[in-house]
Amino acid sequence: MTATLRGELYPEIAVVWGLALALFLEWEGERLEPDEIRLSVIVTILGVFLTRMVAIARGIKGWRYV
Amino acid sequence: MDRRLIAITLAWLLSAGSAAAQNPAPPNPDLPARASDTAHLRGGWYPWDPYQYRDYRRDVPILTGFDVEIERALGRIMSVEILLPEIAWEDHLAALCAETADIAAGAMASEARSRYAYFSKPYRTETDVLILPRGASGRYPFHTIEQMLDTFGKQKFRLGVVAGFMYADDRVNAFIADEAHRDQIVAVSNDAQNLRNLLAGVIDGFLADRIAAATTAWRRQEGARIEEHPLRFSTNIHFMLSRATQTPQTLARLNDAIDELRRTGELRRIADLYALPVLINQTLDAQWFRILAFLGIVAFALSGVVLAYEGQYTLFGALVLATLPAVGGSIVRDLLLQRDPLGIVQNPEALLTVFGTVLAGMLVIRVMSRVQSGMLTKQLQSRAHLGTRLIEVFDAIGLAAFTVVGVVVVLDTKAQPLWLWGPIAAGLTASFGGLMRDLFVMTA
Repeated sequence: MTATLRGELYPEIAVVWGLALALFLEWEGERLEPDEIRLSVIVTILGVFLTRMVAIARGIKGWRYV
Repeated sequence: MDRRLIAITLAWLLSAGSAAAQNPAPPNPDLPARASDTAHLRGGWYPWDPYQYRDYRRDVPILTGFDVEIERALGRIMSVEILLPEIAWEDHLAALCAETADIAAGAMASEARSRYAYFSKPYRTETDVLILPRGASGRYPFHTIEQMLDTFGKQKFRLGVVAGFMYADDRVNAFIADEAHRDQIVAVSNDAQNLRNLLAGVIDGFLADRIAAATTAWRRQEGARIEEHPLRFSTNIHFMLSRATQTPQTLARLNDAIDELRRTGELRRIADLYALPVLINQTLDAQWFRILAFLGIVAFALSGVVLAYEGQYTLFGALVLATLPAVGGSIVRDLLLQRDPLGIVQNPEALLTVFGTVLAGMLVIRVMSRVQSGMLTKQLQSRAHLGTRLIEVFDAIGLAAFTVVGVVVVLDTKAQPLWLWGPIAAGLTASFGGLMRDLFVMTA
């Protein structure tokens, strides 16, 4: 229904936001601020959710390979 | 053709994961104290999660933590073995004076301590807070350390501290050491004891490193019963070397090793591997995140239920179609990252949620088919698009929760680099199960 290799903008959202969270956590490693870590999780959740909702509302498809 | 492509991709990911998931090196066992020599540094540890703690793998205790792993890395650079028997912090400091210990981690510099110990360059910082019962912060509206100490004195505040521990401000340490406040100070050996005293009403609050305090409460699932006061104070943290047994040359070697850890990125890697997972798992253990993950699993399972209904599948077929999108991606991710045990085996709640959703779905469908001519059915049919929208919203919530879980599992399994495996695991967790479900439907 949702996750296919030739359709919806779905796995791309997880990969892009997963990359953003991973890069933030790499940078956060030296700071270790619990509040910032909690905030990064919340921002990622909101980011993924809103991106997916916009993709559904506007019918945005995954990026074509060719 | 598509199926072959998927199979090849899956095989490649699984084989690549074998190389990527790193098993931590076996730790040194706790060793007894011995005479000082150039090949060993006699250190010590006490429970101070996540800096120093025992982790259990297959019931085997492993000493680890941020400070412990940094000590081991410094030992490798300096070509010495750092011995780490368990010892209370106060006793550890006494051992540095008594020439029965050489090194201590996690120390704040002070004039009194510098009489018997050298201090290394700082290797991390510490932020201290006052931990109070949930809802109690409002009763202590101070904004500065002076105001806090004044409040402690006037209200005869019963303050919990760790014996021998120096907090990040000299005024606080002076207050604790003052004989006039002896009746108010309750000194114990670690933060866990302070937490127990707080919850039992023995003390009104305790001072602690905020990361250690949060972790202690999280491990004991008591986070909801305590809170931090907004006032915070920070300082640098060093290693201490006994002046009696060590030389300035050893201190210089230690400082050089700390510099090398920073330069090579090892310090950051240790933080990524041993402190970050503990901190981020505290967020994922919160009730609000569990609810999001639950909604996501239900939405993923419902997508399978709808397909099973449309395709007239058997109950077993419906279970497969619902289970694949809900937990299939996480199983593939765990196999790829060599997680042991697999998340689904460690915590079968997700699987039970899927089974419950399938059975509830079956019940609803059967009831609906019995009352097809009723008003209820007509109303529901006219609002079918609302149901679809609701599933899409829950599905997006699940996508969000699974994206975060994917990255956190990479931290837990210590696969490196995080920037590569984090997004791969996020994509796998969130969408690979749905992909497998679609392939299953196409085959069927």
